[in-house]
Amino acid sequence: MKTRIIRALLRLYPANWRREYGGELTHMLLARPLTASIVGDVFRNALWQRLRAAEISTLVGLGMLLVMLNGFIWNIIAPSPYGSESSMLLQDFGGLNLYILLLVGCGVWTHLRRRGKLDQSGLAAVKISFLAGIPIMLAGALMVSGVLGVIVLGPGDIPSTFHQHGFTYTYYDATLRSCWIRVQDPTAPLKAVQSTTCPPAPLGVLLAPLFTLPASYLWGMLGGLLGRWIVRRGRPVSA
Amino acid sequence: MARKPKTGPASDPELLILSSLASGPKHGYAIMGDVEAFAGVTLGPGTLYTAITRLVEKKLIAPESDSGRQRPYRLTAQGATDLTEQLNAMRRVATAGLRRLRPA
Repeated sequence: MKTRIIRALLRLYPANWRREYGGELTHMLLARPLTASIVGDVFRNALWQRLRAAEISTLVGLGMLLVMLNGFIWNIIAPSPYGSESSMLLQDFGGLNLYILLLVGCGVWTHLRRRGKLDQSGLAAVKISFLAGIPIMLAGALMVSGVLGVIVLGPGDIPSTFHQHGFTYTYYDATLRSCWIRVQDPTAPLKAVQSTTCPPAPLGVLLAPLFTLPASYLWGMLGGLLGRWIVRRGRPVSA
Repeated sequence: MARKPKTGPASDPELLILSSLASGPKHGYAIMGDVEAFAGVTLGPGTLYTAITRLVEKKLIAPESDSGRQRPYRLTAQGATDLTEQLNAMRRVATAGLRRLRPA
């Protein structure tokens, strides 16, 4: 049992670190009683080593994931008023100027660090975008499974709270749209009805972040190009 | 018995490891025991190896050639200089602080 716990703890460290110090740490852990505080100490330090070894894109992506998760939780507990920045963050995070700058910046950084092909910069941006999209995909998965309901807010509508409607995801919609719905008689043909309550399709929400990935790749590549330009400018001109 | 320092430079794992290695090369387990004996601080295994990793990266300590599963570490010349500077700075602060605490 003890050996199994130690092996699991060691697996939390990055592979390079394990190769260098894994044997020594294992030896030390085997020689002492494995108390909760020692397990906690090793666990905490393993996470720290992971963070130190992580690529900048992973760190930025995890940061974005936390921001989006925070927005997602607040959307359910206390939805923000229509038109606020936090509602835009959840619905159009791929189109926000700051987010695009982040992707381009990461592309620049990746190229300056690795000096490799441009696709590495593109892939770094894709990684950020994917991680940032996880809370949205989570919302989609909860909608598909029926755990999360949807309320659509138009301009002027008052946000509903968690206490009034249970687990509800608030979606902000600026336009009156036509929905194809079946009215009363299930055998009747579908009719187009003007409605403000067209909820987004759960599957659409689930897959939406994946559709932002190609654009993120291009923003990252653009950053890589900028990085290449910076490198060329910095290099002394040969005679 | 002196109170164990919980925070501040006297409980900094890197400083404690450097001070321990000042008396000669030691492997991880011996460093841990030594630090406990001279400073009253118990370093967790994870904390110890995180600090060792940083010190090796900064070239302040270096592993000796492999000897079984426990590699001894030694203080490098750069590490000795760094430790001397840190301890001298601490002594200056400690002397000034203690002098000011003394009633006039």
